[in-house]
Amino acid sequence: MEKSDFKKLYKIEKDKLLRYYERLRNQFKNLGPSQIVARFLINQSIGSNYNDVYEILLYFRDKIVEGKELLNLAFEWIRAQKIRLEYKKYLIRAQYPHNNLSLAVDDCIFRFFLEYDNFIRKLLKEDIREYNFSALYEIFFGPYELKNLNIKDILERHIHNVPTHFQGMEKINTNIIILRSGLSVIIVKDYENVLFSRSEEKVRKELKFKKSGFVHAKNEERFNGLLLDRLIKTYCVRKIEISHKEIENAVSQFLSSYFKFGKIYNFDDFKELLVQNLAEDLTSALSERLRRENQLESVKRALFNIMSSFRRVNKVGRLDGLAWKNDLTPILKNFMTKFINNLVL
Amino acid sequence: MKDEEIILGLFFADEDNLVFENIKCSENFSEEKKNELKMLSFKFLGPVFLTAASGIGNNWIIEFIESSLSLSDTDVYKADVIQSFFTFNSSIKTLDGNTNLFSLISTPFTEDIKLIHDVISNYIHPSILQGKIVNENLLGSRFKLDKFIHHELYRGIDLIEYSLGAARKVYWEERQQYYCVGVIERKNAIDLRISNLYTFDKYDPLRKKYLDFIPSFYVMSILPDYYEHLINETLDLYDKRGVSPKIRLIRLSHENKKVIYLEEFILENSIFKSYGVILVQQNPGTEEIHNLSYYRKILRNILDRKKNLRDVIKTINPYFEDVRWGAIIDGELNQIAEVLNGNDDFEREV
Repeated sequence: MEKSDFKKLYKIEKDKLLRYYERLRNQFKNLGPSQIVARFLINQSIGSNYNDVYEILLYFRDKIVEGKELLNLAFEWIRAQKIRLEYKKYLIRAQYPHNNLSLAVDDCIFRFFLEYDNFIRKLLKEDIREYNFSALYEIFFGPYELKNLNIKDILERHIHNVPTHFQGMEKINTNIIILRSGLSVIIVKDYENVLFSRSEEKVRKELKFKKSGFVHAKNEERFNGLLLDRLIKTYCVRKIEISHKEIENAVSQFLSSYFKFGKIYNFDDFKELLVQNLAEDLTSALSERLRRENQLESVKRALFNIMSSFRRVNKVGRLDGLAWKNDLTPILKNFMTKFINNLVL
Repeated sequence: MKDEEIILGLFFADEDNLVFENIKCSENFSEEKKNELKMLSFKFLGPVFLTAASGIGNNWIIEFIESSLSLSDTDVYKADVIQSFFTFNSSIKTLDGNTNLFSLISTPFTEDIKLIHDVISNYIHPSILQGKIVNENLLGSRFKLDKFIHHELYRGIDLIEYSLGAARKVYWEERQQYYCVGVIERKNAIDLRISNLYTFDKYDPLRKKYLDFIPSFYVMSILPDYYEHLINETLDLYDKRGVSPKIRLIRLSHENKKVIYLEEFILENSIFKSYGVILVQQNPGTEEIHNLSYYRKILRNILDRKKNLRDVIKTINPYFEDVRWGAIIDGELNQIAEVLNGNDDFEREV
């Protein structure tokens, strides 16, 4: 990838940032350049606290290549957050076989940080020791919420990890090992967090599934007259005539909430439940005054009589859910029509 | 991707040509088969070493070999699904010599070849070399080179495998122009193996001029046939049935010189008939140049219209003669080596 492509891919609003930096510079004329850049970064939500950022800038100040300044390093710190964001988005979707952590490190370094390494090395002097780069990567790409950005502690962690190698006067390129040294811990930790979130999500889903399974089972245990409830409430409030089709649909929904196609039911097993649930649904939907006139027990009694008459005519006691629904719909529709007509509004 | 679906191997040859390999294979493979697989590293790296160490010409690198795969059996349902077969060789020069990381890849998908190339040459190969330097320094006598390289090859295999399955993308690249310095005619069937080279007349100064731009006519003559049979052997080892590999592209380089071998084939009466062109990249003073699609089109045209190569050889390059140089038998190859690779003798005769 060319340098310009890289800049395009992880674009920062340099002009806007520059204007803001100029404003800060005019505002704090008594502060030195490092202090202003530190303040600039803190105001961009970069770094843990002012002192840590300031110390980091002081450390890297004399390591910047001629022609570039601390502000360029600050811009790259901001760009690093963009890269981190993209890298995190990628990592969230990544499915490494057997949760292979070495693979996660290699894959992320190759996809996100290898080009950045080429890019950032042009900003720092060629002869600086390699641990400076791995330390810089820890600073730039560590988690946002990282509390400890103490440059001395960070350098302490990196100084003995990868020695700088020379062939004569020439420094040997060990950039991939430096990237691994600087980023392995971060990538592994990030991926472990992703795995943890995934396992939590899985547990949450399982719980939800169990819950919905439980609700489902409960639903199956009773008849649920949602449409009946709405229909009677509408009738009580708006006082409009209810069509036969609407009553039929409501009764059909009430029966479908319990009966399942292909499952065999015994009449004696559901009779009382049907009477109880239908009576409850009807009376609960009535207004206070109408409920006094149509008490639960009386509705239950009426329904019980209807069901007993039905049983006397239909001798078959075991039927499929759909068959029960088809047989009971006209009986209950008839009952419902009479029930609604008898309501004195 | 299941282990059985892919062929994936990494062969690393260090500065002393010590070869380390890691080849993925099914656990059900017998020990005998596993041992045969180990030999693949030497076979595939053979020509790489040949151009490097034979003393014939310069140190040329075989960068890329791509094979097309055609269904060879009529029973399509029993054929293994393979869409890609290619090899990359990343070559890095160190102070102690050249190192090569050769990869062998075959999958059921059309792969994003550039991505895999970048993984191998920008990450896996440099990490082996860099890791060796750093670990030698850190561990001293406790450093075990063999263990280290195998570990890195494992990491490399994992990374390549994870990168497989991405659809092939078209990347922008500068259009290059090439000059044809030779045509290879090949015929292959169960009991037939013919390979002939057509090029400049042995006395033509162009032959000598372009000898500097290719490894040698000898090496170029043997490469397509050698690798095609090796790929066939590899597919047999992995029990891949119903597909026939045909060399599509071979890319070689030496410093700023680039050579491409481009081949097209047709199946006629159970005989695979192929024509390939040896192309050198445009240089100052190169004669008539064309892009790759021009050459591909011309080869397709000859095959589809069943033209006799001798009749049309001059349309590919007007300086070619219609003399055929056999490139299968040792005696014939020696002729190519002696006559076409020679620099001075024929000049004197002229």
